[in-house]
Amino acid sequence: MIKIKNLCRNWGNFSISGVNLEVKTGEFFGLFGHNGAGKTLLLETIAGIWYPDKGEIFIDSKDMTLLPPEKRNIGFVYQEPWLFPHLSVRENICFGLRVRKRKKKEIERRIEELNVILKLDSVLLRKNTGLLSGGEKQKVALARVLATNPGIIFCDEPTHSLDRQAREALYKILSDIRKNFATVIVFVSHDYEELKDLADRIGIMEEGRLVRVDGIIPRF
Amino acid sequence: MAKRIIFAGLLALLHLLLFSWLDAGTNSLLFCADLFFAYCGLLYAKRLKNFRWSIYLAGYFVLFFVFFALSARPLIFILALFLYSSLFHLPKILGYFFIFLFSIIVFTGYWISSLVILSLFYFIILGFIQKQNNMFIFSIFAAGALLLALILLPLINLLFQSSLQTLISTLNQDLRNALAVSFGTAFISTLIIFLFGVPLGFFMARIDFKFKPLVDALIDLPILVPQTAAGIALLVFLGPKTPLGNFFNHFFGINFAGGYLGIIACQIFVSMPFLVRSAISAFESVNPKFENVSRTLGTDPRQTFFKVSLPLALPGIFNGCILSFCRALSESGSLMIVAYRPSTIPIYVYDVFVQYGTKESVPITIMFLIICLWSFVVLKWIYETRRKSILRI
Repeated sequence: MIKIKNLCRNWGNFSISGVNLEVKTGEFFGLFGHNGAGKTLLLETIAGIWYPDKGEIFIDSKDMTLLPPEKRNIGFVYQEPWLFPHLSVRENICFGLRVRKRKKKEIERRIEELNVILKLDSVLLRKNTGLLSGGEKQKVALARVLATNPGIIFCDEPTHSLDRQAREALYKILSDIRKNFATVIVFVSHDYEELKDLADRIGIMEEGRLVRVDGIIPRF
Repeated sequence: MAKRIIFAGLLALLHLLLFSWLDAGTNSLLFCADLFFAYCGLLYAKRLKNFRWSIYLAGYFVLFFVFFALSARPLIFILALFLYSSLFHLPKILGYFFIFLFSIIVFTGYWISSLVILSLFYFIILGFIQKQNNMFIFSIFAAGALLLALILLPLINLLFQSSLQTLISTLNQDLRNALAVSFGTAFISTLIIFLFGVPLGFFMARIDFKFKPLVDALIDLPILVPQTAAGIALLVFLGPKTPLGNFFNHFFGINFAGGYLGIIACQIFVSMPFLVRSAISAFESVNPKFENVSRTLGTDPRQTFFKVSLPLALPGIFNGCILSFCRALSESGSLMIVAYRPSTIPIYVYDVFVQYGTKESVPITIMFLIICLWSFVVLKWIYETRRKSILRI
């Protein structure tokens, strides 16, 4: 669960101000806004990459406002996949686990688990990141985030540069993640229709403010 | 077949009539060359169109005019003709052949250096002319090539100034000592700059602070300061009878001036900007988003630096190490003031020049150049292969 109270953060001439938000565990929250509305800045501030100027952030009722990002257990998938180019696909996925000094067997097991949802075949795992297609890259980025078993996943327009087929595949994966893991997913997009199909609720941002949150949309 | 025999006979007759003033041996060689030329011409005639065929003939007359009529060297003409006839179907190699002739005729005194440089440029032009076929690219290359030639000409010219034997005989104990001192100290100073310069580079690339432009300019300061001034500054700072010099001498028995430490201090001073500059631009070229992703995956700032930022910036930093190392190797101005002995190679070269003059110092300088260039080329080669393996291109 995420709870944000009166969050403010300046960024040069731009600022996000007075954001209040509550997202429940297991919820798929959509965040809508045009370019430059402050969606990414808001997510990065919640993830701990920037400290807020004002306001408080609670995750699972714990005050996380001043904790560094590595202690918040938030996975972040950017618009670009940002796969580490000096590591192979497998090393990219294991990155978070290696940092946590998990044993080899445990890492293997985790990859097997991810395999069920993400369909990571062994050929893909051995490839270099430079040789992947856009959809594959985003899939690996998602796998890298999921490997560490985060309580919250932020997706910052991950479908932005994907074609329709790859988009559909990613939506499928996201809904599978929802079913299999008790995670909060915050999905950012500048396409309202896309969010309408995916999200339970949609928050709308304009010029650094969360203007309104559209209520629960019946899902068919 | 009969036609060809008649043709050969006619050609022989022509040679007997026209070139009877040459001695018999040269004349018969000339006949062979002309026959070979005609034979090759027959082969090309089947494959080449008229236009190319006339170029083939024109080439003959150019060679004839230059070597036979103008400089009266029939033997060189014969040699050139053999090469020309056999190379005509390989236009790229023919280009090198003409560069060779051009160098010999036009730059007679400097023909080897001009041959090397012109061939190099020709090689580069061949590499891009098929992809970029416009005059602008060609003209900007020509402008750049002039500047490159200005650097390369004296150096390459110097390389061919002594024989291999003289070079080997200069490899005496003194030079070997100087080599060891040079490479040892340059390596240590590069290592020290690496240890302290990489953190500085990361700091400058990532953190914004007041007076950042000032600190940025400070990094370039050693390039601006004349080497001798740097030497005097260092000597006044940590030489004998200065507070710092006294302190080190008294407690550790270390003397900066006139010792290895002095050399290293000078080398660090002058070569620091190269590594730090490279490190800054290498870290700037690593997108901070990589670091953000790494942080959210669970690395603390230190792990992020060692697992993500440093490996991604390493190719650029290594390039800086090469520059820094080579700069340290070639430092002389400040060393003359701070630590003349034990002598590094530049100092040794200067020493020999002052004591014995140009003639004695040339082979040593060549040795030094070869070694420096060689180490530079090897390091660059390692850099290229490493870069490719790191970035998995």
